[in-house]
Amino acid sequence: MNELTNKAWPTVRLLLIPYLAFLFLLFFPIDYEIDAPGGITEVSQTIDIVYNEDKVIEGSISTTYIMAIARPTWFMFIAGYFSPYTTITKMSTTNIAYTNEELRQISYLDKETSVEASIIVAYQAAAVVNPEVTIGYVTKTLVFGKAEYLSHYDEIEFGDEFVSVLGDDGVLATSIGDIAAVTVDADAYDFTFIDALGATYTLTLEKDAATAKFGITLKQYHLVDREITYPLYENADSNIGGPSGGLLSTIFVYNQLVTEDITHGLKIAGTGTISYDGAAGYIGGVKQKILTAYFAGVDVFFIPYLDPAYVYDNYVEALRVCEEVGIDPSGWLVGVSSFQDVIDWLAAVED
Amino acid sequence: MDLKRRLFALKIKWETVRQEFKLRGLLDALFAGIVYATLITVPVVAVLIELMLISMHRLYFFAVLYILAAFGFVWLVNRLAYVALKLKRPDHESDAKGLLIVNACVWTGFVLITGILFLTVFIPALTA
Repeated sequence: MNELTNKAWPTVRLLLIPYLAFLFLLFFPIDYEIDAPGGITEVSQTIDIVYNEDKVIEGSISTTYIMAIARPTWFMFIAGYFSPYTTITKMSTTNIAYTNEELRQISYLDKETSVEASIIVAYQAAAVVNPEVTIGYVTKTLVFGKAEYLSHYDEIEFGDEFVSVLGDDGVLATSIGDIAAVTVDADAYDFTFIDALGATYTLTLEKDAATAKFGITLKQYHLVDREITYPLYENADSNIGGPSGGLLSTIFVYNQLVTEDITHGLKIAGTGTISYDGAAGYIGGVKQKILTAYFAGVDVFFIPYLDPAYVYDNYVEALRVCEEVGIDPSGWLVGVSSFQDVIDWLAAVED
Repeated sequence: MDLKRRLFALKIKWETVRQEFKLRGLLDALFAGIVYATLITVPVVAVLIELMLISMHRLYFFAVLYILAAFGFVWLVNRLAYVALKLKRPDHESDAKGLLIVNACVWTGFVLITGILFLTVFIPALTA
């Protein structure tokens, strides 16, 4: 070792500072976000419906994921800047307060609740044509966001269920809409939650002096009641988060529950969130998703198309991206506003 | 029979090298090779990982580059280990270089098999 070190020392001394500078570029994170093309994932890899298992499905239904890199290194920032396929943005004021681990937790909460929405919408639609299918759900209020000033920040986890708050004059509020009305007089109130393991806990949350808010964001979700739902399903863990696979997951689940194969042998992909009423919702990273689908050679790509006049409408933006990178969108890029639009489009393929 | 003879010749070569450099000297040279090769390879691998993250659609291309980088690492370790041995005893007579080439070939084969497994089994399974 010493002999080699002695021999290499003049070179090492010369290169030490550039070497350390290069390592700094490679490992120092900065408060930006990079969206880059990712891949497509067949929904069958993550959702397993225990039903119709002999049914032959000739095509495939995939969600599209992109690489959303929070806090990239300087090197990634520079490489992304020169890549025609990436989009670089400064981190939003909401995201900048969260650690990368917290952003991951929020992303998985989004994904999990999106799958629940897909199941509810697809089962409800399938129940119309298949009386064997039944679906039930419960409505819960979950912790979706935490501000830096939230008291007991580390004790409350994303996804914990809000149960109640003991408000003024001993009034117990159990819904989001009532919280503001019963927490007027005092600076601190007792909030009760249920954690992921089912344990109930109560914490006294104080209002922030500057904003007069508790610093907790709650959101209402419908979650599948497995007791009265048939057939059963399994949702496997995956490394992919976010709600943008909702629309395509709904199509996949629906296809598993009905007799005919709605894929018609096509390699189907797409993006878009799903609402409980079956409406598609906007997603981010349109450019990267279009490129991902194009690179993957899909036959059809569904994307939310809700308002032709809106400059940031996903379909309108997708057409712009196609023009920018020289992709012909005709025949495979399809704008849809709802789950039903997709079903109707696929039904027309047969004709 | 031929393979048996080759293995025997290799064993003799190993014994000669060991007698000349002693086990401690050999391990020291190998350690030096690993340390310096790692210092050189870490930035290369970090660059590849970071470029791959923003170019996932070229995953296989980057997987091949990783395999090539692993080949480079193996050969660099052995090359630097040989340089270290030569610096220890410039007048050495045993075939340390030949022995390290065999060592590099064995590790290259291991990297190649692992790389092929990644390209054909693990990556398709992870991205399916």
